[in-house]
Amino acid sequence: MLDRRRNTSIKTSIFAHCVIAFLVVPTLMVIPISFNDNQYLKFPPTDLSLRWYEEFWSNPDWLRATWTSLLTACTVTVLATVLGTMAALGLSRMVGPGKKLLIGLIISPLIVPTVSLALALYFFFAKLHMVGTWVAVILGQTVLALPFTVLNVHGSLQSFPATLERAASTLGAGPVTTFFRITMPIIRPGIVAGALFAFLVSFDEFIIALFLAGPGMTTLPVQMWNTMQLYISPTIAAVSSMITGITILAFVLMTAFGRRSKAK
Amino acid sequence: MAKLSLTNIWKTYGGAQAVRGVSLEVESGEFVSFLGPSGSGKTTTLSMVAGFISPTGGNIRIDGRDITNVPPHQRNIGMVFQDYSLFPHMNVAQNVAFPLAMRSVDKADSARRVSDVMEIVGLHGMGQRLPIELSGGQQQRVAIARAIVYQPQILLMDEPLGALDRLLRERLQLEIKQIQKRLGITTLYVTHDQGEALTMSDRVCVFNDGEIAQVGSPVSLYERPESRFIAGFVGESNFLSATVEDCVRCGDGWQCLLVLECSAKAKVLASQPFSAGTQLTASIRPEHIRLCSVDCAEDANTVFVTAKVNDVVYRGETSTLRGQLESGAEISARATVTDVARFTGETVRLRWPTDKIVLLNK
Ligand SMILES: Nc1ncnc2c1ncn2[C@@H]1O[C@H](COP(=O)(O)OP(=O)(O)OP(=O)(O)O)[C@@H](O)[C@H]1O
Ligand SMILES: [Mg+2]
Repeated sequence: MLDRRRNTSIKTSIFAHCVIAFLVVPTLMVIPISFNDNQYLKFPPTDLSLRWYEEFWSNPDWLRATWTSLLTACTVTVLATVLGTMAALGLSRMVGPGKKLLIGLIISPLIVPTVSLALALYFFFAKLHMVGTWVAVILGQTVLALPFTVLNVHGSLQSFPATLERAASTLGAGPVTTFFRITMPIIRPGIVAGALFAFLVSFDEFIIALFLAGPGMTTLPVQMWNTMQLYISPTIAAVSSMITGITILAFVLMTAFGRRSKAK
Repeated sequence: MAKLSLTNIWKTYGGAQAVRGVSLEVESGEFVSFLGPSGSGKTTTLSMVAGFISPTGGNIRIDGRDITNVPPHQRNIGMVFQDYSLFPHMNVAQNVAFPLAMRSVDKADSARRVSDVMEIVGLHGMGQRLPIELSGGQQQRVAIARAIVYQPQILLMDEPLGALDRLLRERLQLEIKQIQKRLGITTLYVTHDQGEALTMSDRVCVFNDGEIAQVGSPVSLYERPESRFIAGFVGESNFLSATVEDCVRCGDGWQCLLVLECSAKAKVLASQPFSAGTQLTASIRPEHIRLCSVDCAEDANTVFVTAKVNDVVYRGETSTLRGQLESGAEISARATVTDVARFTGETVRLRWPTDKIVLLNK
């Protein structure tokens, strides 16, 4: 009886590890490939080399794409964080069925397939003659990032005692002062988490950038796609490794930040 | 130091009336408490004075200035909440200095005032602690310090001691009262606890169902309740139905002869004449009802009844006898002797002085 249970738990454990491996290994495979001194994407690597990283850092196209991506992601982060925080503040003060509906609408970009969203945005911006502009890419990606900031900030507002704002108001603080001096410092973990998600959403967003960006506004994922159209170069693996590295770093930072603010 | 006046304040939520026509004048430096059952509109009224919600009707003035539509941060009001509401990310000194910073008080002056007020609330030297590093009682002291450091015109407190244990509550009651007197700050104090209201207040304002049922000094409220609700809510009372036999002029009042429901007769002073046959309620406090010892000499100024004792509740310095009159009415009496438990199940004689009877309209 006990034996059988142990057997089952071993089987479960093996299965779980297989699933995790399936999720992680393909992503991690690109890292050794990127250090391979071979013309072709080959695993396992034959000779170690940094030539594909060198190739990346000496190619102006890659550098420009990186710069565009960073600039876009930062702008989207700022926009989505400011808008999302304001929306979350409003939502947290709402009662009744309107609130649920509004939350549903705001997070709908998570549900609607991104291709459909991108297509819809394409037609929308076409009407406004904005396809191919940087603003269109920014706005499109902000729509995609907004659910993350709204949900994170709204979540941290759930545990925020409403009487603190009342207390601040009797003490002489107007609404704006109250937000910056009282509310924001307390819900900062939610805002930071939302901002990081927004950054990551934009940084590796591909479809909207592909549909809406004009020439000279190629972001990193789009540049990868363009490169792959011509030939498969291990440079792609090097770029992937670096993006993965940045993403992991961001999450580690976020976790560390969350833990510190909780300990406080 | 300001006079507060509420004039015919109404507050309705949809169809529900939370506050119905409250009018109240609070004198400069006065301590007025709001007492009443849950849901009677105390917090709602206080919130309108603070400015968190705006009245559906009526107006609120401080020293004659109409503040009905002034936002809370421009009212110069101090408020202490039941949950303390200290800012968790600021230390104690920063919390207390916050209202001074909002008023652009310079650093040195602010530091001096913070340290003065910390002295007043007995928290000297705790400025560097965070709120979570303090006990509930200490947190509430910080909240009080923060609410008085800028000398607001009015101080509002909504059940500030509700979350504390009894001993601490009694100590803080005295301290709050002392601070309030010393600063002479006009105060509105919401409480569930009638003992608290009676010990701390200059006047108590009893709410019932969104209205003020009676306002008065603790003594007048306890000794001259104007309605059955007040007589039963502030302290305990026995209610007996009484029929007026006749009233005669007596000094500048009237003396009425009543027949109580236990068929005992009593001569009671009244402020107005009642016509014969009027049905009234006679209210008597349990502590005025005594157990008769062996010789219960008849006396015109004493009412005697017989009652069957149903049970005796021991309460330390007194015991409460609960019994039933022949008419079926329940009656409770306080006995100061300790061996009254033996009367359980027996029929006893009870008496009380006629001048302790308060006449109430039905
Ligand atoms: N936002 C609101 N919406 C609808 N009804 C409300 C609202 N706030 C209060 N009420 C109603 O108004 C009435 C008075 O409430 P209030 O909070 O003033 O009572 P209270 O005397 O402070 O009670 P307690 O002693 O329990 O704190 C209650 O019946 C309550 O249900
Ligand atoms: Mg209340």
